[in-house]
Amino acid sequence: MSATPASPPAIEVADLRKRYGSGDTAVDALKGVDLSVQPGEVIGLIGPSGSGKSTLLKCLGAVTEPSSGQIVLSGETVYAGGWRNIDPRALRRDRIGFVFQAPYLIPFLDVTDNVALPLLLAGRSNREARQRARELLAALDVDHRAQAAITQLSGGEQQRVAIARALANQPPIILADEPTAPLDSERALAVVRILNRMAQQYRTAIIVVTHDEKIIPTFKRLYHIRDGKTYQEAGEGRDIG
Amino acid sequence: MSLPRHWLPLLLTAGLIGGFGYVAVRTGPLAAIRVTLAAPERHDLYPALFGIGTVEARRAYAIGPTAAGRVQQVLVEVGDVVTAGQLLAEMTPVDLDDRITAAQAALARARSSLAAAEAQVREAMSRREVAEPNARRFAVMRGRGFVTQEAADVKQHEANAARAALSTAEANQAAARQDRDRLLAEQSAAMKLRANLRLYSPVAGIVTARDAEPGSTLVAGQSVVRLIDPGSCWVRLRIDQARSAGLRVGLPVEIVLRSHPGEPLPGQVARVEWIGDSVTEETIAQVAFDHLPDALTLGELAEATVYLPAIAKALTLPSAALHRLAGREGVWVLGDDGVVQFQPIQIGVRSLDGRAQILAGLAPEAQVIVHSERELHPGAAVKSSPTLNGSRQ
Amino acid sequence: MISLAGRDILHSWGKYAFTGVGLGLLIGVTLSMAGIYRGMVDDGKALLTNSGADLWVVQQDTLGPYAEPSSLRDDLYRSLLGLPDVQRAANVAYLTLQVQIADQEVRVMLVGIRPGEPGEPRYLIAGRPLERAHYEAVADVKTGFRLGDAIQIRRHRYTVVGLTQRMVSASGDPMVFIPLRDAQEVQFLKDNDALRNERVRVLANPVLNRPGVPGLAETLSRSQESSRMVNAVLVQVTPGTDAETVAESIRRWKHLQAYTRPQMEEILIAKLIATSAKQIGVFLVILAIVSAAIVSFIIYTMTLGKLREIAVLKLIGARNRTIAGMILQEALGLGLIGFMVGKTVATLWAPYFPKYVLLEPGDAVRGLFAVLLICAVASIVAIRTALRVDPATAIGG
Repeated sequence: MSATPASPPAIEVADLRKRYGSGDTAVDALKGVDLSVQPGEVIGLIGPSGSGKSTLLKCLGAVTEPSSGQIVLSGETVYAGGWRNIDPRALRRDRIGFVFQAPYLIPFLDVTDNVALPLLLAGRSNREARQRARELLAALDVDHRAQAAITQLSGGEQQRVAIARALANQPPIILADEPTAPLDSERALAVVRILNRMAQQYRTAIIVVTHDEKIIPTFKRLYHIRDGKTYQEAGEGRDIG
Repeated sequence: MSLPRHWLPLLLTAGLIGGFGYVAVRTGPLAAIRVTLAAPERHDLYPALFGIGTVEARRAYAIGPTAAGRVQQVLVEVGDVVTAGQLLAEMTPVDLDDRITAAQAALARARSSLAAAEAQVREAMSRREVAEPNARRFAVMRGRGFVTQEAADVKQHEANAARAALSTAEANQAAARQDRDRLLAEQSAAMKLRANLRLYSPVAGIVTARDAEPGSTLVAGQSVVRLIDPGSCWVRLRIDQARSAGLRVGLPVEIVLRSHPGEPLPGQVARVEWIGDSVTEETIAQVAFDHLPDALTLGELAEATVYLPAIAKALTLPSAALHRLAGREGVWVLGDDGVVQFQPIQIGVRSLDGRAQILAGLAPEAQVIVHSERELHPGAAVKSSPTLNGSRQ
Repeated sequence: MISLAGRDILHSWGKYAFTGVGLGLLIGVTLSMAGIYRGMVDDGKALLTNSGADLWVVQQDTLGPYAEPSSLRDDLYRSLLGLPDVQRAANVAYLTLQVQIADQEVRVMLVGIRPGEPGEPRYLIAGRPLERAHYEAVADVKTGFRLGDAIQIRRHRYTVVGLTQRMVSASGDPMVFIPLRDAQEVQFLKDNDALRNERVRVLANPVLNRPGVPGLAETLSRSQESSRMVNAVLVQVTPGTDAETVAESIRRWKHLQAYTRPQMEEILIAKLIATSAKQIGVFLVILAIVSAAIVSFIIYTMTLGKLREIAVLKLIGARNRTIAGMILQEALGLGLIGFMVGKTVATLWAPYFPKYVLLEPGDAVRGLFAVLLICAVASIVAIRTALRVDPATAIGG
């Protein structure tokens, strides 16, 4: 709880619900989720399979439209029973960053262009986008691979590039879906370290969806999700340097 | 993005574009027409006429009967050499020999009659020679009165009778002579008729055909044997009228017989016929051999090249360069500025080896297009090449 | 914005190049097929152009010397020359036969011409025109003859003195030009056995071989053995005169059929090669459909292989236009490579076809647009599939 009250939370979700189907076969995946993350804060989102974790992620990522509730990004209400004058695609491009379990980089682009891609999609010039990409890559210590093809990178390097890409448009929030799953504990902790560092450096809120026991103790704050509802609890906040 | 990493696809792209460009420029309407060039050259031009003909005999003889008849015997074979007056064949005389025999018999009889008549004349003369002196003597004796008047009258009558008998006998003799003369003429006529059925050679020559065999019947005009005078063989040459200018007697000719394609024989034009062939549009000339070849076949095909007087140092072009455009003869000329133009020119004689004399219309240093890959048009893009044949379809 | 399509192509250029070359070969076949049709038409036109005539005068009620047999007396041209506006008129004889070259037989069209008159080859690529009135020949290079070769036709040997190019009959047989008189002889002179049989037949006929009329049978035989017929008279009209007017007067007053150039083209192209043309047309349509289907499959498969990347692109906010543009550009690029490869290989292998293949630049341009259109249409299915991809699949779970 290190947020200063003066700045609005990076993301604030209130009573978010999602129902798949209708009538007798309707399934309520989310039954009223509330969460709030401050800029620069990294939180964990944990829960068993089928708890609604993925649905929540999709709703937050503006990939799936929720059924009701409210989402506020940096003080701006983007969802309140419907998208508010905003294209979810533009929302994803400009204000949400994604880091996946598998890095899902674009194989036919090199490292720099992968990072620059969100900026380019947003209409920035090639020069500006690449400049920013190189800064991010330098920040993530992979600038020596800037010209490399994706297939030449190791798993950890790929994940770092993916994080750089998620940061490219300086989104207020980054959604990380099991970012450490394929990595051993040392590398997993390194990724978490990076996420923390980036959150601090770029004042971005990061929600890490995980059930990786190795990294759960690192979160200062956790949200448990069970049966479509979230329960907030304090984490160990173990210092990992 | 560093270029060297993608050198291979870039190379391939460059190769593809290069190949495509080459294909686009070297084929189709963009491609230049390849041509060969030549400048007019001074050459001795040997114009010639070419024609084909057949070997024929200048004098050929068809020997046959003057009247219808049957062939009795033929005494010569094809290829026999015959002399003038040699009996060649004979026609069947039918009853002509019998008629000659009858005439001879009649003549003999007439001759006998004539002899009898002459004997009678002699007898009558003898009687008269006795009777006439007797009558004169009795007349003298009566005058003297030695005999009676009656006896003198009898003697006078005897003399008169003897004179009349002589006249009769003389007339008989004349008739018998005329009879003999008539029969003599008749016999001679039959003999002549008989001789006409014998066919003799009029000249020394070679039998070329035996058209009838003994037993066959011919009408007047059909031949039994045919002869030629081998020394009179020549070639009856037919030359396309369109290319017969300059043909005249005495020009040298090279004759190639079909049987001896590699051995040209010298000859010369012996006669140019006044009457050409209007149907085939050919002029006919007779070409005599300078030396008769040993074996000649009449009717054999012969090719003949008639050499016209040479034209010394004529300005010539290959005849392949000559074209016709809009009804005018001329050549395609490649100007110094690289522009192709049609240049009408005046053409003189052409030689058989493909050179044509230029009379007017062309500068001696002009670059004339001889061969071309495609038909030319004014302003066509061309590319000079030493030869066009066989390099590309 | 960087070109996503370009990067993708560059990334998997090997696959892309192979696909492009494969497609190119298919397009090459299609272009060649069109070229074969154009070649057939051009063969017909070349035949007409090379004869250099404005009018073809042929036997009444026949379709000319090429499509139907026609026979005329060879002195008819003189009366044609007497007509107003007729500048030149020349007899020609056409005859298709096999000739021997080395150990092979070539089918050629023998053309009897008068040197210097319409009907003679318009240009040579080697040698000289016919200069003698007999036993010389100018041959098309496609026959395989070279200068100085001897061609045995029936009983005479002809020396090749000149070579020409693209002188073919309507069916693509190369031409051999020989003097008219020789061609007439070849055309009508029977072989020796037939001649002898005919003579014996005449001699055995009591009406023809009468005893009282010597020489009749021989004369009759001789008249049977010579021919004064030709197949057509080529007429050039005075420049500036309407050929149809002259043709009309020939039809009306000479009782002959006369065709102008457009009518002749109609006969040759519409009638003579109509069936072959349709045959090729149907094949061409099928080939185009097959090509289109293959392009569709290729592009669809390529897109399916990129669905994950497309989902990621959508997730990070790429617009539909960007994704559709990428697929369309790749499809068009494939078409362009295919077209260039196709045009190149079609040009390279065209000379090896036994018959003329004419690759018209117009056809190539039309082909290019057709290929691009087909590629564009073919990419529609792929684009629809790509746009239906749920970006959520990138997140998984």
